[in-house]
Amino acid sequence: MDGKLTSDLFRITELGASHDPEPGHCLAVEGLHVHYGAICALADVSFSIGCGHCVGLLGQNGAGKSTLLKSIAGLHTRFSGSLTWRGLPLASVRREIAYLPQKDQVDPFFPLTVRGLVEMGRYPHLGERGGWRKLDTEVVDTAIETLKLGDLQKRRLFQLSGGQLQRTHIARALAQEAHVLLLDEPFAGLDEPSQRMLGEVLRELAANGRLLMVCHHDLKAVPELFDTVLLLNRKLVGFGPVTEAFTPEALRAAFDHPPENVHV
Amino acid sequence: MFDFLEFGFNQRAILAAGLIGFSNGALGALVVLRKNALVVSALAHALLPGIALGILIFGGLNPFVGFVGALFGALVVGLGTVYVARVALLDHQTSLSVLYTTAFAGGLLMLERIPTFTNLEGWLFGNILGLRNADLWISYGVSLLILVSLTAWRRGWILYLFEPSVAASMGVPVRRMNYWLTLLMVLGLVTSLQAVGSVLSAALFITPTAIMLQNVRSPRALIWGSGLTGGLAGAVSIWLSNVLDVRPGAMMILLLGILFPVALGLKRLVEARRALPAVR
Repeated sequence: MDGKLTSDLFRITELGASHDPEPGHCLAVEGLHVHYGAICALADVSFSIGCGHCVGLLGQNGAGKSTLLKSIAGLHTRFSGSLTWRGLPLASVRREIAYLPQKDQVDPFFPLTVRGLVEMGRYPHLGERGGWRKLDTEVVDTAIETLKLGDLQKRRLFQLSGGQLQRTHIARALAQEAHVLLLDEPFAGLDEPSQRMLGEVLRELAANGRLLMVCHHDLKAVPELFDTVLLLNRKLVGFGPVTEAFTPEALRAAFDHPPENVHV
Repeated sequence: MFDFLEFGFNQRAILAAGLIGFSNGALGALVVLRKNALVVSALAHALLPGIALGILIFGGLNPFVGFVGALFGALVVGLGTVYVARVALLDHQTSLSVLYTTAFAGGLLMLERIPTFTNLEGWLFGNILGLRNADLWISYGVSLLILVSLTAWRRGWILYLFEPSVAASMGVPVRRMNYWLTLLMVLGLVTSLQAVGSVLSAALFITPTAIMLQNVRSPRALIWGSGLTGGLAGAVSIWLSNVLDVRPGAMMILLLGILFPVALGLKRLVEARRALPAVR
């Protein structure tokens, strides 16, 4: 596993995403409010971003990172505001959006192989009754090869490391031919080599025209991992290219106790 | 050796045990993957008080009263658990344990008040040889409902059980499936009540899946493999119980219980053989 993915650029491109960010491909969030009972989780969040970016969602615990991600994934039905992708309501373009949950939500003993998990990504295309086609096998094969999972595809989930499991989930998102990938803390608990490899995978996907929204709480590697940051503290406190928006002032607004020694 | 098949009640028993074993075994795969093994055992105890209440209200026991009563008992305890857990700030296991033991005790006291009800043992431990045609029709109906539900959502079940949040984001009707699975679980329990009784009925759901989990690598293989295991064990145990002259319901569960360590041993043997070249 040398972590070189550049040669696979064309494969990623094959799976539905265009190489150049397209002007119409834009995720727009306007005036998003989410409440859990009396508690306000997100207030008046508005931003928009085109495809081809890897966006880090930053903020302390309870800042609303996961809530924002889940709202985009369609898991919160009770919110106000508008969420659109390509100018269409998210509910109507659900198959273009893939949600990857936190690792600890996965049961490693579920009777499933790496390949079986990736094949799940075809559900939005096939539904319950659609027959499995040659095309589906090809898409799954490509997704598995792209994430360098070929040797692991017959393994059971409990035989995978944390990084391999994350790559399997990303492969499923590719099999889904998703254009927007929503990742909840994918780097948590990964050792440094796995973290670097995953970071490279995400950058490649963004370079190939996908939009990645990534919840992240470790501030150290932010400039390496993301090209754009979105800082949350129940409301939007900073948004923009990492060189402009990832500033000490923004961090002070986002964190009650801004971490020191962060390379900004 | 097979002359016992000449008797109608034996034929009915084999058919019923095979059918109930198959549909509940297959459904059990979903129950186990939803981590509900103990929930199903607890709900099984709630069937008896429901039946007792049914007898008190309708003044006698017939398949209809048994079915409706058992269904009522399981639903009250099942839904009550959700309510109590929320109101009393208890976890589900605690609130379920409080409710089902209370209901079971209440059921026992009710049964004491019913002079004509002598066949308590049959309801506690099953009486498959005493099945009538009306009982069988209920079993056919429930088994059909279970199998249709399993095939109608063949992909959705797997997504829902593995990662409900991802399934929901892909458009799987997760909330509806949640309620539907609970309802199927209760219906399956009610039918296995006739075969193995309330105390052992949970085993028909859990043990076939525990056996199959040793060997399968896909959820679909688990579902249908558990069904086959349950169905075969059901049919074979009727014959075995006839040969050995023992209670069929308990024989069924015991047979499955014996198959489990056998499957576990086989798996370890295969793994040890596979590992051998690496050791050399």
